[in-house]
Amino acid sequence: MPNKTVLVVDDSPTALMMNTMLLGRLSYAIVSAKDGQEALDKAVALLPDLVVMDVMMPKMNGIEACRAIRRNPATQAIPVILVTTRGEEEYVAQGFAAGCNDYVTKPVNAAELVAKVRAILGE
Amino acid sequence: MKSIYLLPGQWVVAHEAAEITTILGSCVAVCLFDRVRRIGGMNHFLLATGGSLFEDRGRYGDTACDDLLQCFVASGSRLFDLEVWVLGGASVGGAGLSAPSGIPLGARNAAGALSALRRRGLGVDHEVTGGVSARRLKFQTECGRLELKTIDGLTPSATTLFAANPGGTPGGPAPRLER
Repeated sequence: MPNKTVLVVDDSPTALMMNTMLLGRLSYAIVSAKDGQEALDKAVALLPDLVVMDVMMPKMNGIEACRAIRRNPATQAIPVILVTTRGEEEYVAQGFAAGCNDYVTKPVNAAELVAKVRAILGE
Repeated sequence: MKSIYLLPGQWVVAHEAAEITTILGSCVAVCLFDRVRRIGGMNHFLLATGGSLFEDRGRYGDTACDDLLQCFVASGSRLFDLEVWVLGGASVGGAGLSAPSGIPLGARNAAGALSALRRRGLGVDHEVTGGVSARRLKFQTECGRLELKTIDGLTPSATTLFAANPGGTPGGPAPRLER
């Protein structure tokens, strides 16, 4: 059975690398994107099993990208976990209203992210 | 009235009038209200078990519930004066419902809260857990009024209001005001 694919999205190279390393250790195939538009393009092209996406990003933020993923019939069933920053509480509500499935708060706690990823992927 | 936003992994007991707000997906919040002392508190944890002696205790249900309850008891609350809510633990959008264990993360968190409270001899007056929608809670600590609103990208949000039992009947259920 092929590895599940996780699309990790963040405009911060450091955050992107850390989440990629963390989830890569769990044997997921990791694809990365650095803004919401690139995430949307890759979601349509690759149909990942899960998207883990920062909220505050250039071009298209995580909430807009989540909404766009839900609007597209090809991607609407892909689960999305949003990564928010302390002080962005209103974005959490907006994220759920946009169709995200769960959220984690920066600084990301490895155990929490892994538990949520595995739970959403049905593992 | 003081406003407090509770982040995942935090807990608070307000000894003065405050409105505590938090947003839950698969996480669970336990709210406690002392009907005699008129104080309230809330935790917001992410995983059912795993808390250690010193670190990240608020992130895990077992230790987060112990600490919240201990704060009430240490400051003079009696268990039978406490009104207890367990809230959250959703599988938002249906994600994770196909877990091989048959128990999604949110349901495990809710069960963890019930187990931790039971271990401390505390019954639950109100449990609103599970489902497929996120929830926003607003809890007024001086009167035990709780507003629960679903957040869902597909359906209109539903609001439920709870008031603490005004008579202070030990263990008595709080009335649900409206839906």
